[in-house]
Amino acid sequence: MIGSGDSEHEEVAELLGAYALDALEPGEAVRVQAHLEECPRCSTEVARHHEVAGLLANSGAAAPAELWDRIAERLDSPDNPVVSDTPDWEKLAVRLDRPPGIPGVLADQSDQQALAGSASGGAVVPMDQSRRRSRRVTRAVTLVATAAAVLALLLGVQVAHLNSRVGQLQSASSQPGLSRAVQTALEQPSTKRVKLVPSGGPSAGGPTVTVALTTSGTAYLIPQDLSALPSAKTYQLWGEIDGRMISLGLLGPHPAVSAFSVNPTAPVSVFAITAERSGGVLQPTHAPVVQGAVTA
Amino acid sequence: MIDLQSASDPNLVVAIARWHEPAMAEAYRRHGGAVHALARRVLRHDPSAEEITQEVFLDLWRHPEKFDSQRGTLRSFLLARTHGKSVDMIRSEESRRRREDQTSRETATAGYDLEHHVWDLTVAEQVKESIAELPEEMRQPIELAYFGGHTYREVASILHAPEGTVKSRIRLGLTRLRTSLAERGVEPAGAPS
Repeated sequence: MIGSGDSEHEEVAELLGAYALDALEPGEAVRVQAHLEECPRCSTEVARHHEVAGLLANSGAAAPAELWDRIAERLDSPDNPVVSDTPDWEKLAVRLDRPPGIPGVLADQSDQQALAGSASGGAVVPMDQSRRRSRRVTRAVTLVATAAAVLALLLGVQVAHLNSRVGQLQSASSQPGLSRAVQTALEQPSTKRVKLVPSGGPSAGGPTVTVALTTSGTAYLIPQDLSALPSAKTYQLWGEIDGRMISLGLLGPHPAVSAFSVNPTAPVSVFAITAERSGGVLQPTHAPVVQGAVTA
Repeated sequence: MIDLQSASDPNLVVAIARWHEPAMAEAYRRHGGAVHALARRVLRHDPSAEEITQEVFLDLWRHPEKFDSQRGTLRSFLLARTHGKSVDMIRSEESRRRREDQTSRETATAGYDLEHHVWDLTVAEQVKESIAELPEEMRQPIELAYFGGHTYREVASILHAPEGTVKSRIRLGLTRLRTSLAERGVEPAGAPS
């Protein structure tokens, strides 16, 4: 019989060690869980027991490599159920002792935010600030715009970087989110495909990037065999608009499939990708790694 | 792009929350071995251990918000989830039949298994010393519960001890271990003080 007040607390406290070791019957575990939601002292004790148990279980064994392959296959698998609850990014940032707003993953690009902010005084390309889960919404990481990209914003260009593997995209036609969106776009006869290749022409095993331009203004960038850059560098996407090279955003040192929008009234005549220093530049400082012209 | 190898565990989870697969791979590199080893130890069945390992990391991918760095390390978080899932699995009917044959062996070797499974380059010796100092009547219930996947009632039955006594010894044993480890300078990172 459940006691009241202090006696209930003491009865539950006796179960905390066993609870931390998953050694309770289901009904007892539920009782303890309910108590923990209202008792910070007991919650702290359980956290401490978990830490000790973790030390007991700690081993220096290497992670089985073949297991990772199976995990990685399922990270974007359609079999993964899309859950309806959406983690609140702000709450997560606080709990992870991170400042809310742009996460640390963009730390390398923070200086170009400053560039963007000082150059224009306007808004930087908005990052995806929260993790949205929807069968229709594609997964987005961030591309922080340079000052030139802010100018591109004024021309109606936004860039969102979506993280996915090229290999998975090319091999599956039923993947959710971005992959499906790209597949759908590629199936449309009206979608323009722009092939970006090295200046010397395409070569076997050489890098190729395809830009799929839809009539709605949404565009997808699909890189193939682009070599990874050192962490201090980044690939940068450019578009020639009215004779000027405008930065369309940063792709990071390991580009993945990306989605962005272009303004149909300010069409891009040439797409190019250069390798620049981390944080991006206002104008290309190197010859393009790949480039391609948009044909009528 | 973050330098993954030098990123802290909380920063990795932040990146994972942004669907950053390389960060996920780094988390697996750091903790996959411990997760897999614990699952194998508890389940004694490689295919099941592999299944549990996958589920633990997929859970991290799907629900990174469940990790609270204020409450403990990512390692202890993952191991706690590993243990919980492993225990749920072994308490299924078919698993229980397999384990019944091993119970008597567990009782005979319970006192030694804790030490054999604790090895870490920086804390192994301290942990071993703390465990060695722990009275056997506390060490055995912890071993049977944690590595054997038994409830405290089952442990009481195995050890022919009162259930209340077993509950208390598990709780007190864990508290003593923490104190002993702290005296040796082993303070789990991120654990509340």
